[in-house]
Amino acid sequence: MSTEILLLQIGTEIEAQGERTVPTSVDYRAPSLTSAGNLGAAFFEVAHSRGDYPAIATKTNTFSYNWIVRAAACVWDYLRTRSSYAPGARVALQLSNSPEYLAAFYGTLLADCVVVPLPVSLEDHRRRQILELCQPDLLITRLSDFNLQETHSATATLSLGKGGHEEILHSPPRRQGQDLAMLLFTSGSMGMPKGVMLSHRNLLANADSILHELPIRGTDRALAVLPFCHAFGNSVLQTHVLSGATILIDRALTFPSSMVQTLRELGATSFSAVPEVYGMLLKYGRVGEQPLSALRYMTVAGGALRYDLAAQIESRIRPATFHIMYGQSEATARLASLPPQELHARPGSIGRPISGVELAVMDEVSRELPAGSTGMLCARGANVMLGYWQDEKATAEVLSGDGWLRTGDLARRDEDGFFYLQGRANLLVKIQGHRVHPAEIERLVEGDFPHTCAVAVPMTRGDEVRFVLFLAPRDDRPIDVTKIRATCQRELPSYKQPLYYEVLERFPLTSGYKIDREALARLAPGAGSPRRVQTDDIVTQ
Amino acid sequence: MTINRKKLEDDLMHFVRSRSPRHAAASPQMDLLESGLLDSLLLVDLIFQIEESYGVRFDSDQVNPSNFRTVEDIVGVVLGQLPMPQPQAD
Repeated sequence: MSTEILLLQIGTEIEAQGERTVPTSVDYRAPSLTSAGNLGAAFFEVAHSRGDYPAIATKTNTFSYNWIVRAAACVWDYLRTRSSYAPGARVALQLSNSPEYLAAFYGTLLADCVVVPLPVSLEDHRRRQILELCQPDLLITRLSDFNLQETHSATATLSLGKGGHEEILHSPPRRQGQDLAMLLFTSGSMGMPKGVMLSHRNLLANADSILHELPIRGTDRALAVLPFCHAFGNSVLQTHVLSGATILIDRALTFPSSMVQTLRELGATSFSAVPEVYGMLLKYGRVGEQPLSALRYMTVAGGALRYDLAAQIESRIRPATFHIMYGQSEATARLASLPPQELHARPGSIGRPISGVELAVMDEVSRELPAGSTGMLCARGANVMLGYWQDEKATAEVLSGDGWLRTGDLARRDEDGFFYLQGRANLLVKIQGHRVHPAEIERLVEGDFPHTCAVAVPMTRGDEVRFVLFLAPRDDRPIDVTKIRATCQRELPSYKQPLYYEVLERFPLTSGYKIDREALARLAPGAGSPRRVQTDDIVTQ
Repeated sequence: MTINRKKLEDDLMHFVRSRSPRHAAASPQMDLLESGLLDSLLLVDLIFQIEESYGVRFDSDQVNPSNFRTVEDIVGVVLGQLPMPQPQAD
C-alpha cells in the first residue's frame, strides 16, 4: 500500500483545555440547513455560534465546538499546504469514534476534499481493494486505530493544536450542492467493494429530513455506539452536530449492562443502534429496571427488529419513545420512520417516508404497484446518492433516469401508506448493520483453494445471523477444512467469518441446475429440528 | 452433565484464539477487555456457543465485565452454573 499516512495526535496544551464544566445552555437554535451548500461550512457555522459548548463528551473529558473547529483547521491547513493538494482529492479516514474523527472529517470537507471513512476493523485485503479503487491522496488515522507495522508507507504526524480557524473564513470551501463530499464503501452484489457517492446536498438534505422527524435539540446528549464510518452512525453524528448538540463517546460499550449504565451515568438523552444491540439489551442489559431519567428517545435502523422485541423496548423505556427507522447507504442514511404511536397499530412496519423522501413499491419494469402487493421498494429524494464510484453499470442497475433508487429490499405498502419489508431481492445479508454478500466469503475461499467449491449460507442463531460455509470438492482432491478456516480467520473480520464449515460430496441443485441455496440453508446446523451443536463442530482445528 | 475445567477452558481458548490472528496469542489469564479482544460480536458468539454446547443459560446479572474479563473468569461462571459432580462412593 503506497497511500501516505497521517497520524493525528491531540496536542497536550489543547487537551488541558477540555472543558470539564458543561455550560448550562438555553435551548439553542441551529441555523437552517436549507440554504447550506457545503456540509463542512454548515458545521463551521454551528461550531462558531456554539463556541465552548461540548461537541464531544466522554466520562473524563469534553471537547467543545471551539476545540473541534481548531482541530479541524489543523487538518484543513495540512491538506491545503500539501504539494499534491487538489480539490476533490479523496482523503481516507480510519479512525474510531473520537474528537479526531470530527476534526479529520470536517477539516477534509472544509479543504474541498472528499471524505472516505473506513472501519477501524477493516481487513487488510479489503482496505487494499478500496484504496486501489478510490486512490486517496492521504489516509488519516491515529496510533491506537492502525497497525503501523503492516505498512511501508510514508508516515507523518499532525498534532491537533491551535489551528488558525479564522483563516477558513477567508478561504471558504468552494465545493457544494451536487459536488461529491463522501464515499461510503459497501458490499456490492459480487462481493467487491462499491463506493456510494454522496454529495453535500445528499448529506445536508438527509440531516434536514431527520431533524424534521426526530425531536433533536441543541441540549441533547446522544450516546454514539454506532461507528461514525457507518451510514447510520454518520447520520447520528451529522444530525446532532448540525443541531449544536453533544455526542457521548465511551470505550466500554461491549456489555449490554455497561451500555445501560453509561446511558445513565452520562445522562444520555438519546440512543441509536442496530437490531442486534437491542436484542442484547433486552436479554442481558436489564434495560428499564432503573429509570433513565434523561432519556427522551431511542431509534433502531440498519436491519429489521422483530415486532415483539420492539414492543418490549418501547414498554421498558417509557416515557421515552422508540422510533423504528429504515434506510440504506445509497440514500445517505434514512428513508422511513414509524411514529412511536403507530408501533402497536402496525406491527412490523418500517413506517412512512420521512420528509423530502418518496417511497414506492414497484414491479420489474418500474411500474408502481398498488397497496398490498409485494415488489421492489424504491426511493426518490435529495438524499439519493449520485451513483457508485466509477461503476456506471452498477449505478444504472439501481438508479433510474427519473431519480428512483431500487433499494434491493422487497416490501409492500398498506392502504394508509405504511411500508413493510418482505425480504431481500438479492443475496445480501445484514449482520449487526454490516452488509455482507456471500460472494465475499466464497470468492476468498475459491480463490485460495481452486479445487474447492464454496457456498456461504446465512443461518439464524437466536436473534443473530451468521454464515455457514458449505464446501464440496471440484475433483478428487480432499478438502482441507483447517486451512480454509485459517484463511477465513486471517482475511475476514469477525462478523463475516463462517461459524460452521460443512463438507458435502456435492451441492443440491435447483431445477435450473444452479446451486440450491435454500436447500443448503435447510442443512445448516440448527435449521429445522433443533440439533444440539457439538463443541467439536466449532473448535476442532 | 459434568464438565472438566481443563476441557472447558481448552474449548473456550480455541474459540477465542480462532477468532483472528490478533486473538491467536490470547491466554486464559489475558484481560480480554483491556486488550480490546472482546467486542460485542465475540461476546454474543461466546455466550451462544457456551449456551448451545453446555446447555447452560446466562442471566442478565452474569453478563458483565467482571465475569467476562478473562477466559478463566468465564470458565468460573460456567462451572458455577453446572450441577456439581456427585461424590463417588469409596
